[in-house]
Amino acid sequence: MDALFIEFYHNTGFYLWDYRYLIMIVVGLVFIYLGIAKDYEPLLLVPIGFGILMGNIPVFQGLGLSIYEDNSVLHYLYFGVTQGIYPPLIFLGIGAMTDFSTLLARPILMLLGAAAQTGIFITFLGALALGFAPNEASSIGIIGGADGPTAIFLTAKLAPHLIGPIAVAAYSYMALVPVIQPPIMRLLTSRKERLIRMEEPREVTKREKIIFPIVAFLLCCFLAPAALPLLGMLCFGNLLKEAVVTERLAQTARNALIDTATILLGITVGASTQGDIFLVPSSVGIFALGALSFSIATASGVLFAKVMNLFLKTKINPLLGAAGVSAVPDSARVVQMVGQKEDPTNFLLMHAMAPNVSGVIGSAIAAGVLWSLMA
Amino acid sequence: MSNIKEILNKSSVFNSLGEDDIQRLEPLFEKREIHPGDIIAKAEDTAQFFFLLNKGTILLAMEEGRSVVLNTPGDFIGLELLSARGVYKTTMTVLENGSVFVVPRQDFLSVIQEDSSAAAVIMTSWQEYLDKTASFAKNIEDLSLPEHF
Amino acid sequence: MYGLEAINANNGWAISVVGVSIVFSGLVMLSLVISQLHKVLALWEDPSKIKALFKAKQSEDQSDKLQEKEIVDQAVFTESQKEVVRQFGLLIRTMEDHFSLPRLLHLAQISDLKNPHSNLNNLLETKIIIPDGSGFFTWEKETFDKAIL
Repeated sequence: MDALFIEFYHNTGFYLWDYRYLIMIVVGLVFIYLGIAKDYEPLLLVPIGFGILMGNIPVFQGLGLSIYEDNSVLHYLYFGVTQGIYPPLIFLGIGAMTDFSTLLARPILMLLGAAAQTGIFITFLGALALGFAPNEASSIGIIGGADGPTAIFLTAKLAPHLIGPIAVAAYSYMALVPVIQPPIMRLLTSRKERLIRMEEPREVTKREKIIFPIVAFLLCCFLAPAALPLLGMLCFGNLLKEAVVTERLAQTARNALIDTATILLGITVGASTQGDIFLVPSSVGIFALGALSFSIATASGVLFAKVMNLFLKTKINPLLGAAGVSAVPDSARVVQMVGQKEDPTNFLLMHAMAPNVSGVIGSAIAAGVLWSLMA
Repeated sequence: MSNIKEILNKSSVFNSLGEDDIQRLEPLFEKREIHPGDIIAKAEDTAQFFFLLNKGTILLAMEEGRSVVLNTPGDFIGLELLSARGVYKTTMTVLENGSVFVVPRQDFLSVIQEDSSAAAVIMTSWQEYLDKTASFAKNIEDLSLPEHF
Repeated sequence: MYGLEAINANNGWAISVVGVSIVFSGLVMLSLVISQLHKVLALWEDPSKIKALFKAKQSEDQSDKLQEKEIVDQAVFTESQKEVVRQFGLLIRTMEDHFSLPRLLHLAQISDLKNPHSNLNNLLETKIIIPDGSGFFTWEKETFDKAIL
């Protein structure tokens, strides 16, 4: 009987534990705390945080419990991540939620969404310089797109072994948008610039809104066909929303479907951060480069807005450039917050939504480009 | 307390009660001022009071982002206190200055326990009220009379 | 291999330049197309507009002015309230068509809008925000325009 107890004890987490699991459990708890107590991206951080807890229970190999064992339930659910299934489903939901009218009213602001994607390619160079392989460098660079599903999608295609750290880095920085962006925005703009008021946008008709996803899809996917899974679903979702007659489908896409995909993606990405696999030197590099990527993306957007002002008759508030990263709608809210600190009556949120949603399109195109160049 | 009598008569829950029942309920109510931003009760907290709106506007936040706005004198909140679980199903936030009449759970229960027909009238009116103002709020409808009824 | 050597060996510079160029071209093309879209649609809907542009329609102008006056007369907000109402409108644009009122209140609070509770109540009273019958609310653009313009 003693032997049975000892054998059982050898299969418990208490016997199999390793300090790396413990570190990751703390990370998971921090995610859950940030999500619940601080309201930082709770819909993502809570599932990922709990997933981290699930992935870091030390388990006996062979029972089919770990996400990395072929016969485990988590492994089957993780299939949606490794095969890039969940991100397009999430994009479908995002499309069904997004109102592109601010973008349609002022299309020039779309360039800010493009400028912010520069961060992706500068970080790509940085990652290459640090010794990462080109496919890995592409996946690291995409963190600067500030778009979790896009980062996961591209990494699943190019460097599946890095999904854990890249997803965690991408979502961490997305959650930390209100912390990372404001100092950069203030550093690169003068008070006078931050006080610039934006013109009221024109009214956008329903017909424009219906045509936009079709035109955007055709144009962008002809140019970068590899962006098809993400952009296709984004535009399709938006068409469902705007077409009105498909409201029931749009409802499902923006509620049940996106929630299901987010839960499965969050929990499995979290569970993939198994301490012994996740806590390696390359993860530290990925986190450092991710922060750099995010900062460069913010700075690129702001600086590009300043450059645009050199040529524009009606100046735009350069803070809007920071919303070019596609963390929707958090970075737009940060623009609003920083702008209102200077002038409480200056309301930039709606204007910031334009570069914000164009950032989503831009990062999807960037992912498509990198995928096609690396494949 | 003539004011409370007026409100009780206006309230669709209580206006079906007989004069005797109204008279027994009247002294239980205490008037309280409410101000914008006040959260007078939170979902999942023990339902200690029943509120009857006298003046002002109150936002009742339910599950899944749904909500109801109450701004008619006689609107009432907190009948969850009659349910077996006895917790509020909504978070109540004041939007506009005004006042509510408040009655503690125990006092309210003790009066209705003595008169099961009054309790039945209240429950029926409550259901009718819900059908009219918040037919989507299945979670609130899920009320059952406590066992001692 | 590290540093510039690694970038050169992996063709990093070229990939980055091509990548940035494609992203820019895609979005520039898209912005050019959509900047003209409303003009094309306007002509599609009413081809006679081209001719109409050259015709002076004084009588129409007069009736427009009368209509404008009517709308201004209906305004119920002070200037500072109008500003907050506009800000609420902008927040709602970031939400779904049928939005959650508690969520809107939360966003208004974190966006530091002035007196969010009272102003939200004003929007409800003026029927700029109305319930959709399923626990969510909708923004009545026409009513808003009348009150704000």
